[in-house]
Amino acid sequence: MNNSLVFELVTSNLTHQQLWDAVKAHKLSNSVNSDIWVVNGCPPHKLSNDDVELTNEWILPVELQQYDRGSLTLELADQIFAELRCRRIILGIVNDDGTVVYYFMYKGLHKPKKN
Amino acid sequence: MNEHTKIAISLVKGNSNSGTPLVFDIDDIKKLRNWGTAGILTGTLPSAAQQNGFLSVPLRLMVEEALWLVDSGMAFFFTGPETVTAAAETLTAREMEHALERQEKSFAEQRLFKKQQHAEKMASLGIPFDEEKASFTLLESSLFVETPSVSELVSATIDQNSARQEELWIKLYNGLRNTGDYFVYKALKQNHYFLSPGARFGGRFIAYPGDPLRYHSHMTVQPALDYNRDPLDLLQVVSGGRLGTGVKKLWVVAGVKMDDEKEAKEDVSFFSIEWAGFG
Repeated sequence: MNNSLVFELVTSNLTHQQLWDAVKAHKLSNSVNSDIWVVNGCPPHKLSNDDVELTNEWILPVELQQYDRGSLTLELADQIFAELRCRRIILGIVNDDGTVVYYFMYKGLHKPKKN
Repeated sequence: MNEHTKIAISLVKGNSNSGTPLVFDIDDIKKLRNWGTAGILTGTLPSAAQQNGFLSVPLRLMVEEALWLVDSGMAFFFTGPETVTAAAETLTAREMEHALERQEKSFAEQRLFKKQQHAEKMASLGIPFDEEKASFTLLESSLFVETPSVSELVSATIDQNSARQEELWIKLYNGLRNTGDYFVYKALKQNHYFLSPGARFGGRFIAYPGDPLRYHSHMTVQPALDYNRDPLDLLQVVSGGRLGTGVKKLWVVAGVKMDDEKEAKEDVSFFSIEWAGFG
């Protein structure tokens, strides 16, 4: 997987559109023959009612292409979780028009969030 | 409750060559429910089709469900007319007599009950009731003969642990569109989820934390992915995630190590996805 072309877009989207603090991109170390970047930052408010407090979140930028299914396998997702050691990551899905949508991805089976 | 403890799953041949798993015994259906398998009731009459809520036996199981029940020793398969013929051939004259005796006993009980009811009715109307004058033919023609929906004989005579069972299991398993789904089912079952078919919410299974009559479902589980090879389809993540958020369910993907031995396949990785609420 290679997301080196989209992580800067996600970084600026989080900083300037979603108004996150301390947004910074990091390159993952244990990724063999791949170029994976993750973004760390702090949201302006709690993202889910189930969260106890405001915490730093990890965002994995990924590119959505209509005729290419990409290369984020579940094995790779497990490796990313193993390196970041977090409960959830947020997929930052970049569309070809420059918009970004965000999805929680929890490891394992999880309950739906309370409203 | 019946003498046999294992549940009989009939494999009825339909369009697919491996068969549709059905359960006909109402006691077995009760047991299944207690074990966390709800299934879907499908029985109705062509001339008086019913709404889903009023359907009756047989109970239709998912193929994964039937495989799991047999694999964990709670059920056995039976199939084909040859099983019935073979069972019928073991029938002895003594057993036939015994069946007739039981029938006669049931008639006797019914006669007694009907006479009693008739006497009570006459008494309440103040009409004197003479048992001698009561119509014998009317009474006889109102007796019921019960036709059971399951055969005790077949369950008793079938070889529940034979190579034939194994053969049926493998045939049914190979008939699955995605054999990984069986391991996903198994893993969810080990986490004590109730599962039902997932097409209503765009998945392979819907997972309930308990009996579907008591709980809302928590997750729509997608068809199994190859853990090492299948990429996560992001367009699916977006559409599934939006739908899931709308119906308050997590959209769950499961990875099965397809190339490995059976033991490794049972180690299924799950990821739960939902919309983050912004963007």
